[in-house]
Amino acid sequence: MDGNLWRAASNSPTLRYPSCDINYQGSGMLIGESLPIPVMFADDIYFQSFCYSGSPAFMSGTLYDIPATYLESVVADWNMFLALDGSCSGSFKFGIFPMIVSFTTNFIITFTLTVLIFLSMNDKPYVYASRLLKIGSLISTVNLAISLSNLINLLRHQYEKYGILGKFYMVQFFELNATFVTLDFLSTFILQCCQTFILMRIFERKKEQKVIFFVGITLAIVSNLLWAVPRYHEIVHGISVKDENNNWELLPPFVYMFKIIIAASYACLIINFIIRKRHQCFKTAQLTLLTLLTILVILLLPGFFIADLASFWIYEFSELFNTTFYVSCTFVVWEWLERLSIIQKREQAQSILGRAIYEDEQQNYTFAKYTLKVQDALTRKVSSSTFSSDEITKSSNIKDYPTSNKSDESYMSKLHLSTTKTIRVRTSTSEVEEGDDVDSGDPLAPTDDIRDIQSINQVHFNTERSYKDIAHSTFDNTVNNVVYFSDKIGKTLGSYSFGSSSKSSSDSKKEKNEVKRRIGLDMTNKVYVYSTKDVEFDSDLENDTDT
Amino acid sequence: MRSILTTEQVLLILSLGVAVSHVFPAISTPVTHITLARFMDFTYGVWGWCYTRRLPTKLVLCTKRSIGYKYLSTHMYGDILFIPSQSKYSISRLLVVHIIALFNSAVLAIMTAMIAGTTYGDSSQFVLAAALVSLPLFVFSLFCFLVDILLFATHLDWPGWLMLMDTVVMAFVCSLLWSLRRTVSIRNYETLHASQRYPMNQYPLHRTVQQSEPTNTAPLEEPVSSYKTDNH
Repeated sequence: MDGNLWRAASNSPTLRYPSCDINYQGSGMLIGESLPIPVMFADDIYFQSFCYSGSPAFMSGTLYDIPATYLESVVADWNMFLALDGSCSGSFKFGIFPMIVSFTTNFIITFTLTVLIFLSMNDKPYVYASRLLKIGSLISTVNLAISLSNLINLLRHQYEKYGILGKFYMVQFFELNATFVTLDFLSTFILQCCQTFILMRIFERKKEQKVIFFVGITLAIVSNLLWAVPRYHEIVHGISVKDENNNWELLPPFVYMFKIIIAASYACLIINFIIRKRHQCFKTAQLTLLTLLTILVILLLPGFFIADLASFWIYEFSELFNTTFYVSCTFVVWEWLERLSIIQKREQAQSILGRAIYEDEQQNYTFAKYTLKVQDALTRKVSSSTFSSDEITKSSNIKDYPTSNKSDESYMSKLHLSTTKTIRVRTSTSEVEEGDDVDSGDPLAPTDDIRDIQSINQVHFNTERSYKDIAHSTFDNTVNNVVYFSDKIGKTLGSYSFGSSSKSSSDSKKEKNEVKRRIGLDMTNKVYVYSTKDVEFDSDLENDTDT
Repeated sequence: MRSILTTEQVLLILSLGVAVSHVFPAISTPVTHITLARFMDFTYGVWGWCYTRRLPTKLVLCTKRSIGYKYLSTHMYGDILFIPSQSKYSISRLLVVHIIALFNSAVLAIMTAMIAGTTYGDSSQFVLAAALVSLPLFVFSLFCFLVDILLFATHLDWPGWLMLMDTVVMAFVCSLLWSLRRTVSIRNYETLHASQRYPMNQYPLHRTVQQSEPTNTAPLEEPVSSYKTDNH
């Protein structure tokens, strides 16, 4: 639709067709039902041919058995119209049929993708992104459905009124329909936000995610607002912003290029990611195909720009393809990432931490805090049991310090050691938590124990759960149980799936193995250390120094 | 094998190259003889356009220097602007992105010079700032190329095609800068923790059990969280 976004108006609309004006034809015979007499002779006949938005219209049906032809001037104009070059010509490719075909194709693609999105996307763990993508794709489908029905209506109206199929009003529809513009604005914005979330998924570091979030959302807002403002201006005032000598004139081509730049940047980042992960991306045949499809899809919009430059006929429909482009290059990339992440998770699951940890995440020492708390909890439990028991040997304390067991220390020294250890750990924890100093001379104060337990609890139950949460979780559990049992019942009855009744135990074993393989439990003997640095806790250091 | 150039030096060279290549469009046609595009007898630049007639006598007519193309005020052949593509003339006003890109690239070149030459290279904040500056420069380089190609189609001269190369180079510079940020961040983190977390003089290897008095473990009493790190 935006063929004339940046293109200067070509000469064709200014071309006057003589047959569109009133022409003197001389005398002759008139035949027609609408005449006062069906057949009459007239001395002075003035004839004006029907023109559709300044261009000649021609009946595509063949006239049989009527010894009458079109007037010479009309035929000449029609031939001139066909011979023209550009979007205003009468050639087939700039006609209404390619437009209808591409529009319905777009609708079907978008509809299919939306159905796929609703079927295959899980809400977790990326709740906002998946919900936004669902909303965005739904809006685009609804938008295309409404537009399609409106277009068909328009076409019918045109056909009934003038008996022709022209595309002029169709093109106008996309520019002047407030519903289309609003829904298009919403869906594009939402899908661009989803693309930002996808990029955030690709870059795992927190700092980079923050930058991507702010930059991406800002770009999405700016580009869509700049796109929407001239459109609404056009709708409200009825003045085309694409006319020259208009204050808004520069905005549409600017936004047009801006959107292409955003799409090109997105494509650059995804291709960069593909190059970085090329070993994983081309691991299986299926993933290779999906990777190629991803590359193809993200390069669609820049490709349309080149088509536009080359005056390829398809540039007329770039706006129509935009919606499909945004939906597909969000969903296809998402699906590809999902499959890729399974491979990545499988590799990471065989490491100790289960995923890559970056130094950015050490900003607030979350892991250190957590580790200290867990360690603190363990030692506290151990030491309190040591002090409460009167037995000298076989306390769990010894188990905790295997090196001290071998040395020839007395029990008192062991006790002293454990006490100092407890103090040290607790001090560090309390400083992490509250920053106050604890008197190390009184390690066995009862308040410490209580506080300690609280601090352990805070790790897991930091805040008191509200009644709403409890009710919600209870409801969730109930629903889950019901679903689980109904599932089981269904399976045992054999009506749930076709093959479930004949499912042998080997199948379930196979499934189990599949799941085991997926989460990386099939090779339990092989343990990979993911981090290159050794993890050392204070207690280890101390044990080293003690021995 | 040690590489000849460090990442910082490669960055400096590339960003200087980008900055220099953005200078050419900015001093194009009415200013100097460098042309952004050439079509028939017309030459085009950021600040205006010129009509050159070689026969019978050489005649060069140029517009006044301003952003956005205007017609020549002479009433002779060649006073009407002719653009190789079918673009609207008003799009020529978008050529202003060349000037914006020039300033942006100058800022980036200065920043990379500081990264390569001064201690700013060790500050992850500064490298992040440079990386953030490189993003709009990529966008502007691409924008320059798109505007050029929209106006002049394939009749671009070498300064025009240089914009395409700039875009590719900028994509590389961006990724280098962002990976440099990671490197600096990790380097800072590791040096900090290597010096503070494992003070080797306080933990001699020949330490005995008798020496492990509780008072001797002073460094451990300082919790990990109290280490002053720069905010990654």
